Amino acid sequence: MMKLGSSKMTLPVLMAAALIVAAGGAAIASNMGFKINKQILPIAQIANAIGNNWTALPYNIPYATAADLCTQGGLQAGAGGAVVTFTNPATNVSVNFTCGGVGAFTMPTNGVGVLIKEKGTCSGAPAVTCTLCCDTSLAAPYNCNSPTTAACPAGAADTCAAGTGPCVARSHIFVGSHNPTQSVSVQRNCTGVNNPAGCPGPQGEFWFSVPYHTTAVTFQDICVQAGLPSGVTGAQLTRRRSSDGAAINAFCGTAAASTQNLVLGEAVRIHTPTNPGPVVFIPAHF
Amino acid sequence: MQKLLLVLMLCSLTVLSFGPAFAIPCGQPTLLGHGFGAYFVCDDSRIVGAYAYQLSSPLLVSTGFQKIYCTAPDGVNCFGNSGPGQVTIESDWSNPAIAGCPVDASGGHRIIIAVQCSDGKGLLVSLSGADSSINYLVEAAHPSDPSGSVFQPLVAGAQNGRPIINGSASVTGGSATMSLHFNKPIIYTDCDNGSLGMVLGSTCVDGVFTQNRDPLTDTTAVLLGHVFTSGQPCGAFPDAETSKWVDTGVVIPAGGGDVSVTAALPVQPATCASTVPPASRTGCLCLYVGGSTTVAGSPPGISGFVQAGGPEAASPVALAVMAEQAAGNVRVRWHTDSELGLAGFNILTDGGKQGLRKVNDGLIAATGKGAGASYDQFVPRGKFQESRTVIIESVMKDGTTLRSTPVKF
Repeated sequence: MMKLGSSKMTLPVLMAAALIVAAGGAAIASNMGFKINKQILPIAQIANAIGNNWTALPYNIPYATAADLCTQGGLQAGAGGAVVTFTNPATNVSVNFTCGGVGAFTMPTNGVGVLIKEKGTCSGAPAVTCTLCCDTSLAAPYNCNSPTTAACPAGAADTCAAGTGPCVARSHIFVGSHNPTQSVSVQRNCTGVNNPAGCPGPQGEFWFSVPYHTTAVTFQDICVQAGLPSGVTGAQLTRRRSSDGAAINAFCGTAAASTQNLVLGEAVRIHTPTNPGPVVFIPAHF
Repeated sequence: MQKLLLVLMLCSLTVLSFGPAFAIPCGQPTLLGHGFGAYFVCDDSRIVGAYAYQLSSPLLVSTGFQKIYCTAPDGVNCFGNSGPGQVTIESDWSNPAIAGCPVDASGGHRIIIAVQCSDGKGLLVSLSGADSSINYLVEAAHPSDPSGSVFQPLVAGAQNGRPIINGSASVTGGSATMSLHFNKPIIYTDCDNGSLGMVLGSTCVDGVFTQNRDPLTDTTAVLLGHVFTSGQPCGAFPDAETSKWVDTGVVIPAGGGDVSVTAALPVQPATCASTVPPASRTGCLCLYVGGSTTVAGSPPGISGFVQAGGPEAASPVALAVMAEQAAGNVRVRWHTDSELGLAGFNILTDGGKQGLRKVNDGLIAATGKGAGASYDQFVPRGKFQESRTVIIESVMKDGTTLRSTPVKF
């Protein structure tokens, strides 16, 4: 597994971050630091992609390990707690850490995002954790008209008791700062089998931590900034919409890429399947 | 100890991640859709249906209830080149409600996409998934220019494995008997001559289809199977996963042709019982009759269907009735979702003290052959006299009638 170094925040950065935290706000950008009020949308009981919060983090973070992210970010710990996942783009191997557990992985600081999955909170009973039961946008039996589990009887949108719902996202404060000299290296995407010549093995499952003060607005902006190839043999970008689990794909150079907006705080997957070498770029930012 | 913890962690993640009663979609995003502006020419004026399944495993890997198609860009799930008369596939195998994943440790497995348009025409498309750089990019089966950048649409047709109910459909007691007609299906693939798949050379590598085949003349690739039936919610695209269907055992002639099928009508839930006022009924089930196809000896998959109606739901009542004056005439339009047992229609108007009065000369023949259909009629304005009310009366083969909600022009 690729060794990832952790970054230590300097005192000035911490002070700046503290000031920004004190000031409040969803995300405040500067070259000094960020305070991010990240909404982690709740997981569901019916399918795994609902509540998949692929999260972009600053490139300098005070979290050496996933355990630090859990603790300092206030993620739920213990059995049924939040799970943080890092997919190593050098190997495509994912490692998971349940908050409160042991064996936390080293947090990436090279422009790779992490996946956070966590139960929500009942809006009328904040101490109570909850999960979604279904998705009303789907057809039966996924649209709440049928029971899914014992905790999700027919008609229940979530596991919150009557009068305590709905199940809503939890807010977490993440802090950090940008590293304007950090280059991002997107390796060629290769899977485990049927790889074309030149593929060394599984690699290139790259979830890009889009900087919080990026100048990019759409997928296509990332394509242009990073110099990603277009066309059917070009790069494909994907975002996972955590509210319903849908994956939204677009190839660089297409109208879909130009209309698909980035979402603040979301990591975006980049696949570059054909270029032999990695695509290396320094993300543009304000 | 570390192994135990790892197992516990994985178990924890599993409990968090997956519903206990549903199959698991792909863990990582896996494209299933159009990506470069191509589309299907397909009537989308009313309900459209589309689903996909793994050719070798239709029971375990299926898009099920997940809506995988788009009829217009919405900026949320649909970004492609869909519009009036154009349908795109825009989905991902990792989306919720999709059962299973066609990509495993041995790579991508070939899938079938079945699309059924509002007019009953449709398409069958097959993609190998062998090239992980494009996954299940539907353009792979579209005709392409040599550079792989300009694509021709695929046009829906009547050779999509869908049954067509002949005029002899009838309902007796709790069962329906239908004479069905099937055309020999054609299938578009990433092995077709001139397709993007063949331009790339990386997708047609699994030997299921002959390279550079002509989809319009290759009659050996896909064979008709048995007739299947299913009782599922009315008015929606049914779940085409074969486990939701019953094999009637009726064999469809390999080259297409007519068969007769008798199937039990669905038992309605209490919420749709005959004792419940029609306007209050919910959860009604309709009888769906489907055709199946097999490709290269694969298990059968549902290739098309017709909603054959149910006793308490999806009756042949005229829907979305519209009436407007048009150059001395009154133009009346409506459609049906099901016409099982329907003979035709009358156009009625308010005759004052004399009650409702017919303004058409002869019975307007039903054209849906058991399925739904659309109608567009012109009636001289004078026949309505002082009235501006239009009611469409559905006349069943047994003489009973159903009337639409009145509208005014």
